[in-house]
This record gives sequence, structure tokens and C-alpha cells, in this order.
Amino acid sequence: MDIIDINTIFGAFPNQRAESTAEALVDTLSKNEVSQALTLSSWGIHYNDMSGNQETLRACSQFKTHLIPVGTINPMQFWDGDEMLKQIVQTSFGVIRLFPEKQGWPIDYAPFSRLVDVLSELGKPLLERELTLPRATRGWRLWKDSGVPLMIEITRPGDATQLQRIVADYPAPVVMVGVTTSTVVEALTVMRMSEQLLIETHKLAAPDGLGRIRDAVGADRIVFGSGGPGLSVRASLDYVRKSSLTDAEQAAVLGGNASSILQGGR
Amino acid sequence: MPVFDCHTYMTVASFSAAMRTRDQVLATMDRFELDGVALISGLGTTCDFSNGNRLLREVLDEEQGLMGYVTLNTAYVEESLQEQRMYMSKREFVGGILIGETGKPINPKTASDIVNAQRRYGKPIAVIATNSEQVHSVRMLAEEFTQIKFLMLGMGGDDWRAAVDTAKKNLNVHLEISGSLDADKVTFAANSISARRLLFGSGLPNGDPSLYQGLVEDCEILTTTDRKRIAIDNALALFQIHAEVD
Repeated sequence: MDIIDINTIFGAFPNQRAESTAEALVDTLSKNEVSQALTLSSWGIHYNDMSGNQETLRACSQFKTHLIPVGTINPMQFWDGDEMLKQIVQTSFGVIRLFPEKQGWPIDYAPFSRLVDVLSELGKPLLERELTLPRATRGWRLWKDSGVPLMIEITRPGDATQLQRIVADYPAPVVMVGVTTSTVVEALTVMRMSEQLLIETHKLAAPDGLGRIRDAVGADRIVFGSGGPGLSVRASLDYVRKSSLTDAEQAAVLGGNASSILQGGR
Repeated sequence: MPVFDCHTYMTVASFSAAMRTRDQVLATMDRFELDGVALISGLGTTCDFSNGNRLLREVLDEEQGLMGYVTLNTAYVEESLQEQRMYMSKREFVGGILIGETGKPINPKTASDIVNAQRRYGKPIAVIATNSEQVHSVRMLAEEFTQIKFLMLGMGGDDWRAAVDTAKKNLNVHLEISGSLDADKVTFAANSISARRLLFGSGLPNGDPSLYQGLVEDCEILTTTDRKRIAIDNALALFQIHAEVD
């Protein structure tokens, strides 16, 4: 089974001293038999999005077989940035990840809505690009009929509701990252309203949580993420492996669903 | 390896049916191969501590590994002393859990009479500590009541380094490992205070034991003896449970 971890971040953090270099990430992935990870540099979250994106590309080119680059942009600095965003998406990144809580902006936020609008319009030109990607995502072609998949932090009650309103017409998958036991009911409610919304696993902790989410919206809308290497990849894997999901459902959650998203299959 | 989960709740959780009834608790223990649990009354810690204790006692059964904490509420000092007298000598209660206003740190001053009374029973006091303010509160209690053993549930959350520091400076503080899943947390704690004061816990039904079993597995510096200590031995010693453990 090819495991894809869609939530990893490498680099230094302002409040965390774990070994979180790209090398440590690749080492952790190998130890846990994770084939690939979507990743980005911590610089892009806490320092500057463009600097972070460059750092992400540098690390991913060094570890091509394991790391898939995720771009980020800070809506607080998104002014006249249409061309820049187009460049980010068309030249290097297949997935865009956003960090409202860490960067201090609300999801119901005009610059974010504008960014979503611009990304929606970027779907078609992406036909031109095909990345060279390893095994699980070989043939990754970017969303022939859609747009760029998004990943966005959901940390506070109300976040998922606001997100659903903003991405209601978004033409590509939107993964809610960091949903907890406190926000999962809201997340499931909006997932029933919008098919393109998916849920990532790393903050889910209820013992029968994955089974309940499967029953509510289907296992094909759950994607594995760990928050590694800062957070324990092993713990997040065990949560999925020891859940009540069937083997086939676990395979989908641990890799199949991510692979489909990357290939534009959803 | 036998496992004792020292941080579990008997409660009605909106997204989990794992711990609502005695049968569900036993089924959950079976599913996660837990040999024993220390239960906290969800009713007691959120709303009605006296009825929470009463109902929890009906569920506890030492033979089946169902142990529990007596909920002690710092807003009701006299009543809490009464709860201590009523339950703390019973074998199935392993200690007290001290609560104050929801989400806020315990005020050591208002807690002092209750903690002082706990000395008579020779059992530890557990305190939920999921942020630095709550850790600080435990630190103050531990410094004032050096004869009482404190168990910090949740290990400070994201502020686990502060929790480890508190345990390092206060030998009467033990740490329960649920909370943050930082990959280096257990390693840091084991290096700082040794594995002898780390106890396995999950926060069931808010936390899945698999997560924290994985976290311990991830820690490469632990010996097999250390892992067994964390899994069960430290809990049995702290709670003075005399069980045959295979």
C-alpha cells in the first residue's frame, strides 16, 4: 500500500524545537513506510509566503522521490497578486495550503474570498503543465476540468461554516486540515452541503471517529495527514490502522484518496 | 504488554459512544487491550460533582479494572471534604481529581483545604493541565504540598515542556502523556525526569489510546522496562494497586 501523508511541514518553528528539517521528515517517512508527503516550509507560514515557497521547492527537488511541494500564500499580503498566484500555481505547485489561525486572519475575509476567486479561474490553464512525480502520483496532471486543490486550517468553531460559504462553487477539492472533536460535527455538516470538501485526520482523536465520519460522508472523503515530522507520524498512522475502517477503506484514507486528488480524480 | 489508562472519562460525548455506559467502557477496554482504567466522571467534572461521584461509584469494579477518581471541586470546599470522607478510602477510587472553574487553572489558595485533607488518605491528586497556566497552578500546589503526589493529566498540552520542567523541579509531580502529539515529547520527558514518572493515558473518549501508544512506540530511547513502566507499572505504584500483572 502506498501511503501519502498530505500534512507535513519542515523547517524551524517559533515555539517548537523538534527536529523538523526536510532530512528529518524524509527519515521519518521512511521509518514509517510512508511513500510520499505533501510538504511545505515553515517559513511560508511564519515568515514570508514567497520565501517559504522557494524553500519548499529547494527541499522537494532535493528529495524528489518522497516530497511533493505544496505552495502557500498569505491573504493578508494578497494585493494585486493575480499574476503572482498564477505563476505560483503554474510553475511549481499543484496544491495550495492556507493558515488562517497561525497567520491571524478569519476565514470570512475579503482577501481570502478574492484569492479563492482567482484560484477558481486558474483551473483551465493548468492543462499545460505536467509535473514529474514519483510512483503514487505518476501521471499527475493538474485538474483538467477543475482548479487547484486547497488545504486550509480549520481550528475554531465557525471556521468550517465560513469556509463552505466561500468555496461553495470552488471547482476542486478543498481539504479541511486540523478538524478536532470539537469541530467535527460542523465539518461533517458542511461536507454534506458541499461535495468538494474533504477532511484530514491529524487532529481527530475520538476512538470511533473515523468510523463515524465514514458513515456520515464516506471513506473517500477522508485523507491521512500527520503534522510530521514535528508531530508523531506513527501515532497518526496507528489512529487510522487501528480504527474500524475496513482494509480497503484504510488504503483509501492512507493514500488512495490523496492520489485521486492529486490526479484530479475526484 | 498490559496497559493501564489513567486518564479516561465516563461521559456522554457528542462524537463518541465509547464511554457512555459501563458496558461500553468494558468494550472499549477490550478493543484497545486496556487492562485497567482510571475513570473520571464527565458529569462530575462539568456540572455536578457530587452526583458524578455517586454514579461513578456504581460503575467501578476493581476486578474488572474499572477504577476511578473522586471529583473534588474547589468551589465547594466543605462538600468536597465530605466527598473525600465518603469515597477516598475505598479501594476502587485511586485518588482525587481537583477541578475549579471550567477551563481555568486551579486557584491553590481555594484548593488548599481539600489538598491538605487528602494527606489522610495517602492517595494522589490528579489535575487536568492542558496549558501553561494550569501547569503553573500544579507547580504551586506541588511546591506547597510536598507530601502529596500530583498527577498532571494532559501533560500541559502544547506547553508540555513547562510540565516536564515542573516535574523535574518537583519530585511529587507525575505526568500523564496525553495531549500534544509532538514527536519528541516522550523522549524529552524521559531524558529529563526518567520514565518512572510518566504514566500512560489517552483522555478517552476525547483521545484514542492508539495515538498515545504510537507516541510511546515512536520514542526510540525507551527500554522494554521503561515502556512497561509507562504502560502500567508506574500507575500501579502511584495508585497503590496490588495486581497480578503478567
